[in-house]
Amino acid sequence: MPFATGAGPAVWCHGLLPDYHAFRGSYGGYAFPLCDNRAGHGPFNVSPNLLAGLAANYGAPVSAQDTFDSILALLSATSYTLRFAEDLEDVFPHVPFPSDHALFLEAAALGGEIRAVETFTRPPDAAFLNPTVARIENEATEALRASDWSEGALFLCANRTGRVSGVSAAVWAFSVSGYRLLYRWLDAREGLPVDHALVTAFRDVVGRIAELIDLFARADHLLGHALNATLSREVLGLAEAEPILPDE
Amino acid sequence: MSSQTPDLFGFKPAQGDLFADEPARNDGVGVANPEAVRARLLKLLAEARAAEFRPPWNERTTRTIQIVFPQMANWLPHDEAEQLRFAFAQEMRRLTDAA
Repeated sequence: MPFATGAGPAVWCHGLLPDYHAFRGSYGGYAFPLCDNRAGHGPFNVSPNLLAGLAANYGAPVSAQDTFDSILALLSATSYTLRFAEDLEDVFPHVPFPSDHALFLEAAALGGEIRAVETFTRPPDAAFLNPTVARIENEATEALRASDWSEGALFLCANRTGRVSGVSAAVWAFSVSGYRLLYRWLDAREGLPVDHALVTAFRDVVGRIAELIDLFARADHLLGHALNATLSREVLGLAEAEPILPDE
Repeated sequence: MSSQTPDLFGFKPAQGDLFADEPARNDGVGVANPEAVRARLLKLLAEARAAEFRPPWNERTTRTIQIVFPQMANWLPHDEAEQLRFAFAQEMRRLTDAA
């Protein structure tokens, strides 16, 4: 996303084509589909030259899926947008592909987990959604109108019923490009009945955010290693990127 | 105005094309051409052999080459790969000792 760099992941994986306004109003972002289902195209939308360049350097065939997932992991790393905040204001995110094939495969595996959590293809791991996480302490008696978060808890209703405990500060503060995920999730559902389906979905989102925070931290560890020895465009056999020139 | 030029309010225009100008077919698996790999490995080895006191690349590139050289050799027949890895390791040891 081109604005609000310096915090949150640089990329997000959607199961379906995202709205242009996903996450940050009119600022928008860029979408890169993994698959190309147009007649006579695809089935993948990852540059064959990139795949060949990676394969040559890694000494093994490289799949589009692994490449996609490793990009997702490296650009989701907690410190990525902070490390490259200045560059991200001007140019497309650069992908620091590691020189080490084993590290690439590790990033791909981690990216696969991030993809699964972000696209809702699997539930959050039990370690991040146990009974103490987002625990409903008392019954909600009104429609949803969540309070602010304070000391690990919030209320789902304006009359201070539907108290929820076990929501960490990190989960509450989790943002993507300045968009506070949990707050906005609740805000978008204001007025809905606080029934079993809503509570279940709410707890699921809390678990997903908690797991993503952990996955992004693990990705950050990988990014640190990757940056020690990265594959340049030249080594990958790719042409130099065209600079985005300021207007005359 | 370039396609990335923000408008008066600072907003950049929408992305033009999701698929850019990539070739039509893409089976999703990259493989290398062993001939090209061999040529690149021999070139790197020749550069190392021609150097006298230190690796002929900057520190960062040297780190990368030391990692990818043995990996790239996987695309060659086993004996040839082993020989190239050995020769390269020997040259790098010589240059490290000389530095």
